[in-house]
Amino acid sequence: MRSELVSKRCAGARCHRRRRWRAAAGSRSKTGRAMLGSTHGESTICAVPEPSLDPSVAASAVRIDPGTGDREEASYLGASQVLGITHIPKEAPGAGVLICSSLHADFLGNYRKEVLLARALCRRGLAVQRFQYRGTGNSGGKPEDVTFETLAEDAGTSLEHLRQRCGLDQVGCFGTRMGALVAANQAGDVPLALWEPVLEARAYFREAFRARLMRQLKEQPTDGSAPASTQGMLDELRQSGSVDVLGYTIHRPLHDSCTDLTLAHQLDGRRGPRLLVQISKSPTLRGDYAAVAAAWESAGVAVDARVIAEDEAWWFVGDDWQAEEERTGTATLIATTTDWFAASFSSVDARS
Amino acid sequence: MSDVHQRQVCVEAPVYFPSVTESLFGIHVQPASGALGPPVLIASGGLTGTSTVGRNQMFVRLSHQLAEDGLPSMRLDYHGIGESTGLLSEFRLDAEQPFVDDLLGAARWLEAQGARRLFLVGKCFGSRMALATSGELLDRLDGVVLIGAPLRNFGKGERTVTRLATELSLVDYLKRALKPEVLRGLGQARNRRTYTRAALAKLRHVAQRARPSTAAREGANRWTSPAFLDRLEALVDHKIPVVLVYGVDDDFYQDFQRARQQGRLRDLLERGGTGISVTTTPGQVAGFVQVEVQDAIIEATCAALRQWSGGTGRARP
Repeated sequence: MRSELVSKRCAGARCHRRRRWRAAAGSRSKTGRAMLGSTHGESTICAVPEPSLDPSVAASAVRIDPGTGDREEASYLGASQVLGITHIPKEAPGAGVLICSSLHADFLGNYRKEVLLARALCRRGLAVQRFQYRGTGNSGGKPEDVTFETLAEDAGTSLEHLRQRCGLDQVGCFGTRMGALVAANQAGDVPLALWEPVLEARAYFREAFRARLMRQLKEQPTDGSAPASTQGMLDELRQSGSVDVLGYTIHRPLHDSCTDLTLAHQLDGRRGPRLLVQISKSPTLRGDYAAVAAAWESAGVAVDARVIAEDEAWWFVGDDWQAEEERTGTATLIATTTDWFAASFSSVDARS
Repeated sequence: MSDVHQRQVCVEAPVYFPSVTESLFGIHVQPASGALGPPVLIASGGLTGTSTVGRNQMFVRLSHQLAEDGLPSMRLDYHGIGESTGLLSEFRLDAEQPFVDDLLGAARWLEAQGARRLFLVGKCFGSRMALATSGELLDRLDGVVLIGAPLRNFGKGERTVTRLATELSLVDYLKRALKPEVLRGLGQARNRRTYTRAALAKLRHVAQRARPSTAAREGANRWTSPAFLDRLEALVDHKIPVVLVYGVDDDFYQDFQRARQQGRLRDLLERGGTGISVTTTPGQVAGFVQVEVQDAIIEATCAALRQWSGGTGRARP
């Protein structure tokens, strides 16, 4: 069935037409144009599927950037049910990056940033693997089966796919928030970049429960019931197996598997260079991040700690939505991270 | 390789397909046991990094339930969102065309796979885009489900201030405006913009109430977008069934209840008869901030589609 779909799509959409790029409604900021990179100007939409080089991937949806020739391949990776998006530069990449997303509201909120980061890394000659954990996003699997172990497994599957697909030895890791723990788990001694890393997994869940409490306090229940406490939510999680946090179900297996998880433990004994990025309104590196960076440095690890000014409300989506391409903070985040990875991989042919 | 889920319910495949100037991404879902009806094109809401998933995998779960009912589906990333190319500057209810282009691109892709008819399902912002797109697909639509559809054309940041303007008395409004935390907030440009919008919304509301002849003439539909009514009328004229799904606590539902009392919407609902129905669920649909509401919406949507497809996937004559 899949190959039939592919065939039909190929016949119908072999688009060699070229259309003028039309400006979207609203202004096209310099930031936006810079982040769009080589697709500015003319757009050829090319969705020609090609035979996969990886026998575990029967067929991929493929898109080719008309300006750079960079490819994006979307596929379910082998029998894993993991949806992966592989970004492959036109020139043979010398290195790659595995992008590990965060969970729940973070996953949706950070999604476009990660897409833009992957495309920017690809333009710099790096192959990139993004993926969605089983039980989340568009991947298969059940949400109630997700644990830290399955997150790490899926990251490993994706990492291996990237290595085989592109013939790579060097693959760095990247993670945001909870994804930082997953990235650290996979990192070994490779370059590791972390955006707002969760230092202790239990802090992520505490924050989730507090977000729900804040919403409950704001809405002031009219039925006379007192808002749940954090302990009350933990009890609910233990008794019923899940708890609803602002419309996201947090399941007990994930929570329990993360109880004692820390970034320090995941990185114990590893010496690869690290980029730690704090995303906040405050221009000063937080005490806990400063302490972590200092500890890494004293252990002989090369650390680059940055603060990027951006107002991120991870659990709340406000009325102040703005396209990532038009956010100065996002542009800085992406530029900082791509520059760092490009510099970290000495064999990369840095295109810019 | 496509993904066959543990329960063998469906086969999912990622796809790239063209819109007018962009390359869009979607997930095409086929029932594992074969399609019993036309595909469902799902138009999700706005303000999110990807529109294929939804909060708590809401649209993924909807797709899987539809597959269990024998209905294929397609969920997509709008231009500038998720995996799709392009730049999306804002989600505006009065700037539909780029989103209509996106949905038409998906519809054309489905047609290229052999689909001759389809259903449209849209949530919140997506419901208005689905409604706008329906006008281009009148000859092949078997039904439209609009979840939490706003009747008004909100610009960014206008929804809350408009609700406050209509629901609060002038005295309560002023009390809220003069709270110390609000006055302190005037120090930030973002808050000043919000407060200005709020003040203007209230002034407009007071002015309209002060002109009884205008208010009476426009009736309860003074907040209803003419585009919304025009598209709904086209569906009624073509006898395409429509279900409107609201949460009873939604402000959009309150708007709808006010608007349906008189004027053009009332007339349309009467003309549509059983072809237009309204379903409500407890709680608030907007934002899908409760899992039980998500589940109720999935059930209400699938119930409507099951009814229209007759359980056997017969196309409309």
